[in-house]
Amino acid sequence: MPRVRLEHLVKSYGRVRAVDDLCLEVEDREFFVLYGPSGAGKTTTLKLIAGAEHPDSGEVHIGDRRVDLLEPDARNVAMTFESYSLYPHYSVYDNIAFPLRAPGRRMSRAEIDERVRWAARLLGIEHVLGHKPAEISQGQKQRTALARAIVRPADVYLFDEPLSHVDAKVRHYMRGELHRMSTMLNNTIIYVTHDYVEALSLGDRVGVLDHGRLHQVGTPREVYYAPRDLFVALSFGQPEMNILEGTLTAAGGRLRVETALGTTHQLATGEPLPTAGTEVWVGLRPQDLQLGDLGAGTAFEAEVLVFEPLGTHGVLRARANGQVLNVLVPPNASFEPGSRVLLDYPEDALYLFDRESQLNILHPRITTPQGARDGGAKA
Amino acid sequence: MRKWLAHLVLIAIYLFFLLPLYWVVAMSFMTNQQILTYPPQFAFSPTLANYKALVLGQLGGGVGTLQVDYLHNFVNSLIVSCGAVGLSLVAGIPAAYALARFRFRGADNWAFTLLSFRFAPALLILIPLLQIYQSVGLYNTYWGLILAYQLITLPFIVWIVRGYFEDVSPELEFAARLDGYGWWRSFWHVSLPLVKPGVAAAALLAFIYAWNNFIFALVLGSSDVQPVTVATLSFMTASGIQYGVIAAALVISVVPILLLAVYAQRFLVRGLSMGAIKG
Repeated sequence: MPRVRLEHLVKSYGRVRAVDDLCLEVEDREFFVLYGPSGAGKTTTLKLIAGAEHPDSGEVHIGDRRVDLLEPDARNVAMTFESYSLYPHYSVYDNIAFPLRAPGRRMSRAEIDERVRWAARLLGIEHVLGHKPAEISQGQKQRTALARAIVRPADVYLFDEPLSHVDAKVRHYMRGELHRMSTMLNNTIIYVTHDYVEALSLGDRVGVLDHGRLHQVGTPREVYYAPRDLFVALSFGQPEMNILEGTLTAAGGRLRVETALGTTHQLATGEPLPTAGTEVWVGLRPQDLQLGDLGAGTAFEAEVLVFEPLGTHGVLRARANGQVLNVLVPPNASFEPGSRVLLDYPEDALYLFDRESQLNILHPRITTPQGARDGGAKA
Repeated sequence: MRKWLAHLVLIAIYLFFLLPLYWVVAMSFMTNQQILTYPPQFAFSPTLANYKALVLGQLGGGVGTLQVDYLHNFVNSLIVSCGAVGLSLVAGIPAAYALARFRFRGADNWAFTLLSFRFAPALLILIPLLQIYQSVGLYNTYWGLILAYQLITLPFIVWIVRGYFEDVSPELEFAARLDGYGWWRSFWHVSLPLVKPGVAAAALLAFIYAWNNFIFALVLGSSDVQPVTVATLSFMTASGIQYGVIAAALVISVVPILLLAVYAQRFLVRGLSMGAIKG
């Protein structure tokens, strides 16, 4: 049985539909990431689960209970907030102990102390237990908020952008910590983020949300390599996927793609594909574009616009046939603006999206040589 | 040069405000004769006669002695002012919370009606209030005064504390709800402690205004329940105005407020600058 089940949830603020007919099942002991840009309805979804907001329609189930009509304190849900929401008048210790001292819990002082210290040790904040929230750093506040959430048993743990206010340096470290913590916790977690790296690195599964609607739910691999639509494809990766115009044409019973780069491909497929003459978007990830000629006849010339060496990699912006492309290249390369380079890409790197429906029409059907690309978008 | 000028101005301001205070204190240690001497004497032999008269309740006049139980009035002042502020806290804090947290029909009208008590002249309502009090038996009772004093104290509490509640994030309360606390306990453990400075400031201000009130007590009660402000009036006797005794009475009546203000002034400054005057 799924641990959390959302059925046709709708929540509007005035004219804005923050959550629009959302259906979602999160499995027991799953680390589920809700990912989307700001304003996508991620936090609202969490609030609907936790009970800060009431849905206009739809149901929230946790375990075998329907909870959307219950008061927040009756739902047995633990949550961290983007702004941490630590109680400023309590010490870090008392903040973490607060849920354990709740009227229904009846824990002995020793038991409370033991659990608080366990959570503090797990998150490495034992040395600030005596401080007030105003006296500790952002990272420590964030850990305190996490400790306050995990210190008690709950049916589901909701984490709302826990790393968004943490320094970039600490963030990578904290991602690792979250991994470790979730393993220790071994419980159902719904994690909200607008950072695609967090989504891909932490989630057992990722739900991609925009305008209150789920575009796709799948493993990090699925959403990255087999995006269901253009929005999902553009959501992952930095720099984002290059998008070009393209046309599908029929030639001798087979389909051909003509891209705005001037390249053409025979689609090696026996499966039925959309009718010829369809206008499509052609997607190419920056790391799939390569320098030089791969020998398949798809190489093309481009003019260097900008080159950014970024340490671990370099980003080359080039223009070919009027199209501006981002290309990931080794950082130690050097390019003169205005010079010309030869670019190429393997054919199976192509993504095709219907220009009307924005749906991915090709890529899920491409078999991947290394087995790296899981096929089929699951809804 | 600029600094000198600033000092000069400051000294002038200090003199302007402190001289009357000094004069009242000095008067309380003078006999009526000394007070009425012209030009005023700054050097005099102090006497405790005025305080003695107040404490003993024996007011020596030209024609026999007058019984005045000033200490009783002092206790009245304490009862009525504390009672009024206490009642205002009990009623005002929830009201302030509701106004800060919830959008409900007529919320702003309600809040402004409350505030309007502060700028409407008391005389406007006193006569009808007196008639009502006489017919329902509230006249000359502590409760009657405490209720009437709500017109003074309640607006302070509601308006100042409301600003404070607005500064407390609703998310904090929600966090407490999720941590397993019911609505009331969340309020008690989280919201209320956070507005404590505001409550202290509002209560102090309300207390000062209640303590200083004259007109309500003058009209709505007799000397049984009347506070020091009204009692001081009785020292204007037929045989002359007892300036010395009045001064001593003033000094005594100022003491509790002075102590309170000194104790709570940091709340007061923070409370006023941060709570009420917001955005």
